[in-house]
Amino acid sequence: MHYRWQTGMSAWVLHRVTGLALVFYIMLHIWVISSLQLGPKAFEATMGFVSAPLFRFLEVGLLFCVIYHSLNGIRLVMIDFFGATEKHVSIFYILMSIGAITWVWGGSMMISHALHDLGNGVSFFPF
Amino acid sequence: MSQRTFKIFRYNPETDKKPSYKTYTIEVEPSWTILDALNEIKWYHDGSLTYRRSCRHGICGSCAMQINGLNDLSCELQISNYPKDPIVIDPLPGFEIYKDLAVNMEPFYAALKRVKPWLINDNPPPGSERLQSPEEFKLMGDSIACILCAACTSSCPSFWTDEDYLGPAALLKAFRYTFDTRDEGFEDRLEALDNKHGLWRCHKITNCFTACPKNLNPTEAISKLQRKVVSEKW
Repeated sequence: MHYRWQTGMSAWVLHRVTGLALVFYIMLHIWVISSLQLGPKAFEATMGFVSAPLFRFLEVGLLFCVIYHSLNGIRLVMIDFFGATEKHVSIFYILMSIGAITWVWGGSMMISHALHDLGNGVSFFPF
Repeated sequence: MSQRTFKIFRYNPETDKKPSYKTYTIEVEPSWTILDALNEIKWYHDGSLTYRRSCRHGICGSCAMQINGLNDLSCELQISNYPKDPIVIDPLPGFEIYKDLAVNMEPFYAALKRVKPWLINDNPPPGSERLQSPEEFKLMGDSIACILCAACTSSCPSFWTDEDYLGPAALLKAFRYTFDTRDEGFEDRLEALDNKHGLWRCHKITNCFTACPKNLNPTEAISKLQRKVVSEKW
């Protein structure tokens, strides 16, 4: 069974993938924050671990997931509440253009931080 | 006349181990539809090719199939719409294959029955008939024009993964009666609509909207029904 990929179907698959990635990130986030229970030193150690440039680069992916999932969510709200089905493809590309600009802008700042750390001799990997 | 090539899905579950494609190159007239080409192949080249067709006027809904990856009515699309060879023809996805392009439509009709696609109103008609104003008629939109070809339901990934899902065609029909001012059967249909195999299985993928050969909008009908169910229940 197969079907030609169209905007709506691609958008839906990517919405699911980024949604799962965000669930995974929230687990990770809860794990990081939960280290506070073990005291300030444990929290500092965990934060040190996730501050490595590797995670800065991964955060560029996280930013993509957040931007895509939220903007496509706006498109879905427009379909659900404002009868925007007939214009959903145009809406998708307008929102994705905004998203792309935001991602490049935010991502470049994150990467420049990571490159700055690497330039100062910080190890790429946290271990 | 010009030569065109068709790559057609072939499968006979009784004799074939797995499906395959067979290629036919035939002479076609510029005005022919995809269905005309299938008829040419069946009548003059390979009588074993199986597919459904009846009215050839886009009304009966029998000849829905997948053409170059998208569901549509083969009698409504001209070959000239597809400049590249081969034109690939598959059966409607998501259904059991009886033979070649003919699929088992029973699950589609069973889903349709679950939404009670008829006027429910136990009150006797006032006067000779139940009148409706043009404004009231407009509430149903174009949904009355559905020909039940299953192009929408079979294009829906939610239907592919959940055989109990009502699907866009049945939900469009539910919309058609729910928003018919003469109908009083909303509560009767609620059980079929308000569950994970009903309205809430729709993820607004919009394949149904692009597949509909009558340019109807099942996605929006589903959204309106969802809003009505939420507002009536809460």
